[in-house]
Amino acid sequence: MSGDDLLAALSLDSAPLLRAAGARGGDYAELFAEAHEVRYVVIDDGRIERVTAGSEIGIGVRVLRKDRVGYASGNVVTQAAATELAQAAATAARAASGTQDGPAQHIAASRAQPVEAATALSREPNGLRALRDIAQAAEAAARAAGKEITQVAVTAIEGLRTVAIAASDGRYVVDVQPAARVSVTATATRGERLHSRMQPLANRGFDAIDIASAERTGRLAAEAALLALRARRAPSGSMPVVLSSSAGGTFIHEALGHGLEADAVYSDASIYAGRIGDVVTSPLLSVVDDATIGQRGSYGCDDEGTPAERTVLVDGGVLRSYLFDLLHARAMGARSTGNGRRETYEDAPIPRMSNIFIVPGAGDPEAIVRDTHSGLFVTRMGGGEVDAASGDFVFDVSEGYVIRNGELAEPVRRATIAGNGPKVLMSIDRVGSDLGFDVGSCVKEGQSVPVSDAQPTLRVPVMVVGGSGAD
Amino acid sequence: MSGAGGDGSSDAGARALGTLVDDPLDEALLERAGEELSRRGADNWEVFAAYGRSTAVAARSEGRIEASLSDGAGLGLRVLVGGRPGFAFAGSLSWAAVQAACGLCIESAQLMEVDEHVSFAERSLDDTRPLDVYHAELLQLSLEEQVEIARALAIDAARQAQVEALYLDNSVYFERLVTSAGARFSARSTTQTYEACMLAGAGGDRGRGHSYGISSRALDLAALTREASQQANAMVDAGPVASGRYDVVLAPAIVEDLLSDLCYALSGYEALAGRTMFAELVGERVGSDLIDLVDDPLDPRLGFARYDHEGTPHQKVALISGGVLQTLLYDRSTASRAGVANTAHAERGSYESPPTPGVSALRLAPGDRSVDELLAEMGDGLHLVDTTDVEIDASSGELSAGASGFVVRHGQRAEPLDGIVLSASIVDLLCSVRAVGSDLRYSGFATPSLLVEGLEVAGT
Repeated sequence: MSGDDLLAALSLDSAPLLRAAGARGGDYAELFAEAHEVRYVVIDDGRIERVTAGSEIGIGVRVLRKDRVGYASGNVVTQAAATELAQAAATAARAASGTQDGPAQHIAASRAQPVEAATALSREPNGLRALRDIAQAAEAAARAAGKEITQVAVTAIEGLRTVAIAASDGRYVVDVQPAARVSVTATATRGERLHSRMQPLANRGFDAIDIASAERTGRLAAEAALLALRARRAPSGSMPVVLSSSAGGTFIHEALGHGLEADAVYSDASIYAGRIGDVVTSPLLSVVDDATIGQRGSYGCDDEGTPAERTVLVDGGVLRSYLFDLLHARAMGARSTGNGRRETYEDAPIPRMSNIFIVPGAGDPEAIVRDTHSGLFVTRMGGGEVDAASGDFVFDVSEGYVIRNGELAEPVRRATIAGNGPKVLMSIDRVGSDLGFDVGSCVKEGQSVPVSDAQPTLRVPVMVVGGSGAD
Repeated sequence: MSGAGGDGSSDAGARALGTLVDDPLDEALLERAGEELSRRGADNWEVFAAYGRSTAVAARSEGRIEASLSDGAGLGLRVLVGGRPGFAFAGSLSWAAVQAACGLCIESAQLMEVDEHVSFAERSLDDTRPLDVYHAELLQLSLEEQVEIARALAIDAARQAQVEALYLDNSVYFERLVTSAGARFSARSTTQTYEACMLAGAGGDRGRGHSYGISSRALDLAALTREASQQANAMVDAGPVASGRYDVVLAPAIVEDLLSDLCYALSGYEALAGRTMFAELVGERVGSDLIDLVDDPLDPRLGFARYDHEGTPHQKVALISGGVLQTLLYDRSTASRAGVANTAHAERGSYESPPTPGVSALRLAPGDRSVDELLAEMGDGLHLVDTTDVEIDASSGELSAGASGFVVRHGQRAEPLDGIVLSASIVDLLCSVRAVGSDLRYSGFATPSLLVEGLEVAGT
């Protein structure tokens, strides 16, 4: 659905809705409309398990009164229903601010046509039949990787999200966000041992997936499952950890990124509150969040209509910026960095990462391992979590190798790594010249948004590793 | 989204949840969708519809409040066309959206292979009495009243510790299921959820406390706030633990996290695909004698309806009895494919997904000992009260999680600990349970504390 199609489907008259939202006072009123079409094919257990398509459409109305928020959303998109939502948002904002009605908000005249955020993404859908072929190709490639591959599940999915934002400051913006993804879960079996590993491939644009890339993804999943068969349990305890670029950036996402989101900073629930200009990491690190680079976490504009941008968060160890949405930028006297995101029209936007990464350094990645006498080399990570207040983080390792005498020794599987973000980031003593991305979804306050993260090969002198399970 | 027009004037935001119509899902619309599917070539069909309306208030530090209302409905359609199953959904009840979804549903079936195992409910329930999960008093609150309750809680909480966020949600939910064989199902529920996130202390040594409650009736919000505040104060200056094997007492919230993840590993769908180690363990020991796990969806503290999400009558199902695994979780198609009895475990995350095996009403049988008695019996060890990032790998049964809690010496809780990493096989953990607490807690699932012997823990 194009931006024009969305607006036609909604056929809402935004000016009176914004006036209704602002009728009880406040600083900012915003109308958000979203249409989402999705198609996917699941192959599992050697057959086509599911072919599915569907669509959603809905609107959310937000009213800000200083740092208080009123929000209302619904998926009946007639003018009358939208007017009720606008009134509900106005009432909610008044209740949240704990005051009486204020003077009606000034609603700036918006332009007649929306600004469409600039993207050069393919919007030519693959369609269900092509998705089926892509999924089957991934499955065949995974099964061909070895006799010990006993099961393969593949999901091939494409979704077109179109958002429109009209607000009391006159902004009127549309962004069209086509995205595609293949994920392959391969299971390898030897005797009673069973190991599954998942490999994703995801990006913006419907051309992000095709037969060749799906086959590559299938092979990677199968190779990881086969490696897990011969891997041992990871060692437990404190030790040097080298994080390979191939593991992606879950580490920097958890250990630093969440603590720089402006809502955590504003409510003093982040250890990075009040630290702009301070040295917060090793001088070897520079960290950037960039929604413009054509990765899974990218967009033309964020879900408040602010254009996507590249934000330098840490420069040579010095903290330079937080990640702002409009609300927290206004409250903290800053400008939005284009990081106000929401999962769907049902959610009010909050500050979120897009694609966060550590900028590559000058070191030879192989030399980092060579110069490490003993420890753990992490090559695949799973998910993670952080407590922004203390900076304590945890993330899963699904594949790695023991480092012994500067060489990679036996493979290991399933470990959890724990540490304190500020301490670990300050201690990083080697940064490689490579860069590897991982793609996924980040959940915060119940909202899931697509993200990617990346890092060069890094060394942390000491982290807590918990190995798991029987050999 | 442009142009000009008049403003409305009714006070929609102040309206209580309960003032919405008694049944927002018109059965005639579901029937009409079914007729449309037949007209387009479906031999059999199933139409599922869900409607939810909720009011949510978040209260943060320094009296900051966010208030919201959300309202939405949608349909999930399933068909059989010449033995080929299809699925599509519509995130709207508008007829245009339903028609479009009907077209997509038939198109999806045309790309599928013939599947003899897919079928839809043939008859309605004999027992049509609703479960006692719809409590109108929860619906009488206006959003403004709910905001005032949250504001008062935050003021009270700020006297106990620092408020990070308090989330108070009230919601009402309706669903309907209609099949081409004439089977009809409907259910409705109210839900209150409350989550308190509290902090104490300053800098990087701050303590964090967290509590969560969910019920179809009003919760004891003050008690949940106190629980989170006390935990936050107790966790200030938490230190690391030395790696090693410890006896541990796991709090009910941790046991619930473990069981939530274990459910996926018990899925009959995953078993058929050969992706869970539990497929080979039915009839085998997976826990100590003390482990009795049932799924009891007819208990209104746990369940929601007398049928599962494809209309099979719910029943109480023993999953683990005396430590022995009794069955996996099946719905119509997975039971048919496996050649076993359907355990009525069809679940849908929302109208956007077709049913698949899952559970929502687990209860782990409590023992007869208080938490203090469990700590006394343990003597020296750890009392773990919170987890993060719990993962159970269904294929290998390996559990990993971050945890925080307290050192226990001579049965007494001592200094706080964080940055703990748990690593174990989930079966080994359940087999090492030496005692079960009497402190059964209903919070989605119902779980007591467990005393586990010799759990491997990593720290510094």
